[in-house]
Amino acid sequence: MLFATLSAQQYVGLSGMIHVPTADMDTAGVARVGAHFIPKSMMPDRMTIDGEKFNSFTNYVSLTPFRWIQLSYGYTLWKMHQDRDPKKSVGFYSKDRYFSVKLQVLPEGKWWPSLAVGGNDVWGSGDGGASGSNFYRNWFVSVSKHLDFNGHSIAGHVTYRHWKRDFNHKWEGVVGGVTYSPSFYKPLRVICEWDGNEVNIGADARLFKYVLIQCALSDFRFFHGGLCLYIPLL
Amino acid sequence: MRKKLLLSVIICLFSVVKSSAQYQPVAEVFCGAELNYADVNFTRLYNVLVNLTPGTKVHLGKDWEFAAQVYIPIVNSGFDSRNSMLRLNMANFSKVLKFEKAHQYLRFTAGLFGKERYGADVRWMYPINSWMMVQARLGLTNYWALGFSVSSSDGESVFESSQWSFTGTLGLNFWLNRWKTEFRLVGGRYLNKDLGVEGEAVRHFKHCSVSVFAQAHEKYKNPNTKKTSRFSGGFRIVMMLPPYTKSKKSIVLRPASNFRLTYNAQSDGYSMRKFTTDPEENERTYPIRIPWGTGNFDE
Repeated sequence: MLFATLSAQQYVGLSGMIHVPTADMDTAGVARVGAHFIPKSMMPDRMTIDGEKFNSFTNYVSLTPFRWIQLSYGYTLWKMHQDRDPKKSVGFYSKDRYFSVKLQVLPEGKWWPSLAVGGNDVWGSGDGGASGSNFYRNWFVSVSKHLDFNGHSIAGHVTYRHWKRDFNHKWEGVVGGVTYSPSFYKPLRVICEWDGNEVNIGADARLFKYVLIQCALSDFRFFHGGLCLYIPLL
Repeated sequence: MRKKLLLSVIICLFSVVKSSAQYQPVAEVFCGAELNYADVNFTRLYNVLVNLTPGTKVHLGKDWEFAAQVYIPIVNSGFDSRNSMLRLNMANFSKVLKFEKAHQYLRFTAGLFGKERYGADVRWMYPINSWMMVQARLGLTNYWALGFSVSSSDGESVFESSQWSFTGTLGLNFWLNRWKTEFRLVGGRYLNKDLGVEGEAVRHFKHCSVSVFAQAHEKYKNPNTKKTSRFSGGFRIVMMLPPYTKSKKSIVLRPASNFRLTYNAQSDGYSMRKFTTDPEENERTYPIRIPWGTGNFDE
């Protein structure tokens, strides 16, 4: 199906838009291995160094073993003083790990949208862990609908998202966006989304069959982007 | 007494090699890489250990096989310094017995095994029908280590003779052909005399298998993280490496058949440890090539 090949990469490895997950799924058997640059505006407020937020990177590996399920494991690099000693140098000496999952409970039909449920950071040490984290823990329900106009594809995505941590509640609630793929270059997708706190715009494209690239501006100002290997295993 | 027993086993195995001289031996020489990583320190990304793993399999005819492997350390960042030694990982003989009419398949292995164990190992596979199989494994092993440092005079040569340990597992495999998916349930007694049970769901692809697993085992306190756990889980990825076609040459030089990665959320390095008997052992291919499930994809 057309929309199955146009799912973009999200910074945690699941298909989605930029910061907002969608009900779109990767084709069954697709694995992703990638890295993403995250501007500090999209980092959790509690993840700081000397009280300041910082830009960071995520790494992830994800798999769509069947058409209806997507699984991802990844981590965000955490900037801190070496050995947590304020006198020592600052670098990416730690990380926050998380698992993500998405289930498409209803595939898209001619008259109805696809429906998916899922979560990021769904399993972890939580408050008892060394990081006291759950920095990314959120649950979502998404619907997505694609329309075709003379080969141009326009899709609307609406998601309700609940974040566990108070400091992430600015992204809470109904979020969504619109994506557009032109008829003359199907691998390209242009994205505009509202993530609950900012409007993000960007584009992604699959290059040379195996490389997925995404570039975006968060809040029209801060660069956000990544690259991943898109590996069809079947 | 035990030394005499070991000696007689080795002599017996060599006599078998000699008697099978009428069969054209086929040797496979291969090399892969092993990645070990551990997340045991919050202020450190990962401890990393990378070994080159050159090895050989010599097919001696009548389903006899000799296998050997050495570890050549390339990177050791954070792991114990003894892992920086050049090391013999395994050297053993194995024999496969197939009773195809009765659906019984056995593999006997004796010699030096991976994870620093030596002794004897038996694996049994019994495909009951096209979708269910019973399998078991029994081992009697002891500790050994043989390594030396290239850069210093350090070395170790240990053959423990008084700490023999029985390991044994029994498991059920279910094969769902339509979805190329396998469910495995296995439990038993593991290397540190601990009991455990593991369930795993494996999705097989053309040249790759990915699984998620869950483990329940005896309570153990990890000395590195100070955490006590009884449960764990994670995922495994087994990627088969090209070339995927079998060479008909007598001596085959090739890369290792696979690269594998395991993520174990509460890995303590102690619970449910297993030793390996094959230099290319992995969770995708069965220890015996049988006409069941994936059929080892003829890899």
